[in-house]
Amino acid sequence: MKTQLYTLPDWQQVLAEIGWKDAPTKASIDQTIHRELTKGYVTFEQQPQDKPIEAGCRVTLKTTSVLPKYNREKTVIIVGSHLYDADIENMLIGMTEGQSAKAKVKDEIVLFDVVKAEQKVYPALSDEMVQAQQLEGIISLPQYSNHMQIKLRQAYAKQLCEGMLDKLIQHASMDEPDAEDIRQVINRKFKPLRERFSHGGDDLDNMSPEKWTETFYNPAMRASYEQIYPDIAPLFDTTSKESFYENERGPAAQTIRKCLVLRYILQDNTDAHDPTQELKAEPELMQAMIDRLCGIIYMEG
Amino acid sequence: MAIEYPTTKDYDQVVAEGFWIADFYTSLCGPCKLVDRIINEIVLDNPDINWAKCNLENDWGMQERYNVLGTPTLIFYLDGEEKGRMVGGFHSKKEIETEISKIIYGE
Repeated sequence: MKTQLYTLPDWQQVLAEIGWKDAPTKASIDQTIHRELTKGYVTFEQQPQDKPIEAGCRVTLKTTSVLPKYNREKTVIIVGSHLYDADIENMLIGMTEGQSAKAKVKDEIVLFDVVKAEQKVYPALSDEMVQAQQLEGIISLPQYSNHMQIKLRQAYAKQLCEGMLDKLIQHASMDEPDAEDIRQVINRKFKPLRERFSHGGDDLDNMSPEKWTETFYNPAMRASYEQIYPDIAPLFDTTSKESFYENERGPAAQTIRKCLVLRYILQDNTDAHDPTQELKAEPELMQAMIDRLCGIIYMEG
Repeated sequence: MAIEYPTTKDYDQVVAEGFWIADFYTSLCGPCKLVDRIINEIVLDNPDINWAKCNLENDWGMQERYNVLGTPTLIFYLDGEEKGRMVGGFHSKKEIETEISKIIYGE
């Protein structure tokens, strides 16, 4: 790699400045686990009459108005579900069973009577709930808790790592990414795509711009594919091989900067983690940094 | 939690009561995975909404029986009656919520 990094601010100081006070705690992880596992098993029970309605309650309303939608003996809504009228759902929060309220909807006054208010009842967690998640090799509650703890902590550490890298890159002294390095990084990214989309004599190297556009150009799909197949998503915003290379120049330059910083911090100068030589250099370096951050947050934090 | 229906045997009986989203998908369909995530979020906030996941690979007869022209196809049932359907994987959460809201509460 021709691009060089000369100096870097103290990364631990940058990390400390960003902080990790909102890192997932045992309590917040347990809450997420509970929420994930009990969906589908939640039931409702009558809540005490004087207990105010809160988000998640099931409320039975009688509505009176000239508007047909709001003139019904019985309308059942889950407060905070976004399926009814959001303003009305919000209005119900804090009310109690037996209370009434008026609201203006489409310039008409609607009377809402709270006929019944029910609260959610969460069942005790069980291995059966874990098995319903259909996660490979995870069949018991302790296994699921461990899986979720790692997943949530790593997701947070990844976010933290991205923020820290942005700051470090901003204040690092390094070359502008070399044009040849950039080209090699893009080549690495292009190679598996070319292999994947080669059929018969038609491949990404010789595909006509018309065929390319017809096959891939759909920026609206890119966002969706980023979530499902992030590896092929960049193709959905391009009109030719040249256009792909042009689009990838910025991301490739950023890959080089990130890898330089990560290699410096992790003291890793191996070829396996040189982004001009290995496509997996960036994800592997990131993972190593994420693991290190998790160690810092949860051992010292 | 979604309920998986491997065959059509008990399908009509299952959707007969309450609000159901029948989600027809195949395992290799990328957009189906997107819709899966959205429905999961909607169901999480709305315990009264039931979700039946129907993998067409388990019973291709379902495709013809329920006139599924592409995947994913969402069919909305209220007390056993089909009230609407959405085909394709690029609907936003808001669009799906609006469709459900119309069926349950009217326009």
